[in-house]
Amino acid sequence: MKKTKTDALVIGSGVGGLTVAARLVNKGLDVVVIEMLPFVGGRFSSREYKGFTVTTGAIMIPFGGRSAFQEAFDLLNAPMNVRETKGAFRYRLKHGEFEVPQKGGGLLPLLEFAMGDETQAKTLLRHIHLAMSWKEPSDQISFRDWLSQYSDNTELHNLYQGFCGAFIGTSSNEVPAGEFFRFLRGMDRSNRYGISVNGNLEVMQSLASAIEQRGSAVRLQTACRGITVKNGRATGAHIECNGVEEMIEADYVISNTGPSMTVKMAGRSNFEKSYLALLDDHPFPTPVIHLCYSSPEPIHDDFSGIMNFGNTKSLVFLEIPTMTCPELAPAGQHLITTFNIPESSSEPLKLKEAVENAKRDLADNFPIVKKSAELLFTATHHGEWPSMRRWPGYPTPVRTPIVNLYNVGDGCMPPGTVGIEASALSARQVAENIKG
Amino acid sequence: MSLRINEGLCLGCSLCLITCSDEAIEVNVTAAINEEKCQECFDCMDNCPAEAIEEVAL
Repeated sequence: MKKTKTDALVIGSGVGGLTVAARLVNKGLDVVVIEMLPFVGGRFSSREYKGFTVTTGAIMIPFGGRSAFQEAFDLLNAPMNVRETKGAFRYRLKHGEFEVPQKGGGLLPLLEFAMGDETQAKTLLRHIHLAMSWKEPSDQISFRDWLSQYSDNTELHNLYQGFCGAFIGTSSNEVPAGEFFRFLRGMDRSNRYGISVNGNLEVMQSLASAIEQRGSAVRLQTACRGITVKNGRATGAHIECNGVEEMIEADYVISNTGPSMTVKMAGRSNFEKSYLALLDDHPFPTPVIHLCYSSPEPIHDDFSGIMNFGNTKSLVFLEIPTMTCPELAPAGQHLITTFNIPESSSEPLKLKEAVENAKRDLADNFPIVKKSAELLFTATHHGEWPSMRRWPGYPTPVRTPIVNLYNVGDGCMPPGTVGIEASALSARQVAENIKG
Repeated sequence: MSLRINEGLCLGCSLCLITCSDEAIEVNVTAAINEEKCQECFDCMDNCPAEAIEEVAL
């Protein structure tokens, strides 16, 4: 069997994998990234389909000066072709829409809009401010339980159910209260969001190219068949490409496949029981149903922002990326993307019911969908291709009991973070642990 | 040989559908291959993150 030696082996080329590779390359390490699929990016990539450029998962990209994701590109001078979403943020409840003022200061008016009572809204705002600045609530109660202490207003609860689903990935009764407020505090970490102009694949290929230009390797269609461990240290991995096996020896092994898969690949018996218990106690990824439509009309006029729903069973998030990046669709066409969550993220997903609920919610909210939009595809993200590999608020560390084996990605998101930025932050943590 | 989707493994992520240049994949909760349209290019198999697409002998 062929043997190769490298400083660091990265398994998986998602956001966590490529950004940690970029950081290590920047430190002067030789890095090999392996990816089982024929394209980079994983759930942050894109494919061409019927003339449209469609995402394989994520859509909104954090960027700007404080973004860990952006920082990884800047380290290698890799271009990141992202256009900022300039549109407003809107909430739709049963009795109407509320547009958040872009200059800020919209929380009190939003609470008043939802609750229909100025005094109650001001009281709740005071409790929110206290939770943000003074006493963080316990993670032993859910955010819904925390909110219920102060109000049983149905529309208020619907508002936050939609918010949690859209931005934290689970229902408000599944988000630990403390984590909710950590997330709110962290929301300004990268206060600019955008859409990749020509698709997520181009963005991730840019980073992969920069890694390769510095002499490291990104190898596609190359699967990890097992991480080798000797005397409590990871020594590398058995890999396979087109039926040919190879052994890669590495000083560091970094997995972007999620902590549970990492354990499976390295052998459960090599891990401390306390670490296994941490993973086993809360094994749930966050599922999401993604519906993608094409339409000659944007279905919601003059709206290039994000819409969040509190009047639906499962629809929580609507984005029309072609309002920001018309390059993603043929001329005169729009892409409509919706994200929907099931009632529970821990119960086995009832796929058929979840997809039907998602379709119905969109049609009920935008009757024009039935007339002029065509469903391009439905994608159910769960299991090994989830929205996120673990619920926010149930973190695992990037370190493992095996001293030179690390995890990156949304299976080990730092507290108060989610999605792409969380994955990039986990990569930064790992890179800080590894000497150049 | 032909290709078959193992429904027990299929996640319904639609990566095979948006990859297939022959439009031979349909996803209705889980994916299915239209054998008449399939040109056996194996792109769907390469693009499946769940390794749910299998070759079967005819």
